[in-house]
Amino acid sequence: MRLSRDDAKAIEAEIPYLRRYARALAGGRDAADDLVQDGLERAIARFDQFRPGTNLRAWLFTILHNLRCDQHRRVVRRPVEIPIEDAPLQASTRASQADALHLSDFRRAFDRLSEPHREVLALVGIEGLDYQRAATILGVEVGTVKSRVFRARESLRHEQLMLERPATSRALRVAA
Amino acid sequence: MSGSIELVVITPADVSAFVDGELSPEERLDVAACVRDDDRAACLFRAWQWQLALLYAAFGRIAEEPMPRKLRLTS
Repeated sequence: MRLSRDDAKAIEAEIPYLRRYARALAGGRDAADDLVQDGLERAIARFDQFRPGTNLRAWLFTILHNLRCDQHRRVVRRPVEIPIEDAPLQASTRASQADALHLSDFRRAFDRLSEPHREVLALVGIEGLDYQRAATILGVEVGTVKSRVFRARESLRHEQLMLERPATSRALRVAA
Repeated sequence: MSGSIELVVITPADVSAFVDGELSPEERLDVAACVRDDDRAACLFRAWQWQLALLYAAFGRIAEEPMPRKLRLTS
């Protein structure tokens, strides 16, 4: 399938969002970008299956989701450990140091969730999709999305509590 | 019927859907009242809103990172 220049531009405009979604799914930047690259190849090869007028971003998210499912079927993957240096630093310039620490703790807590939980929080919480659209991408019922988001939030809260330490001891550790 | 009390059962999953703006106007009102009156519901609501803020703070700006050359489709 050969893409027209307009189609290529339309897909390219979605890549930033694909990278963000992939980062929540695959963890580190390199693994995420590899997933995006595979997704783009599949999208281009199957672009004749995309129905013009429907949501391109959702179609591309579906491709990434399906690719991930294929990968999981091939190999039983171990939970992805995120290298510390890959944690986003964007909040460090303006937010206080305590906030930055909080954010990296949060990132660690998030990475401990199961992939279905990370995925549904990425679609609903980060990408801002409604439950219906998320359900279509994941190939499940809307009710499943509702309960999965709820359980993901509970797991995340649990992980956050596990990682939470008194602010004073943390400050001391930083100072030391 | 005047004077009757209708019981509405609100679950934590409903509060979660409320956070995402997924409820009908009537359901929203019921859950909002529950969050106002019930400490546990209020606690969940605040915790999950904070999570959403952290989630976006941790991941939001990834979409603004410069795109690697290998992902470019056009020159």
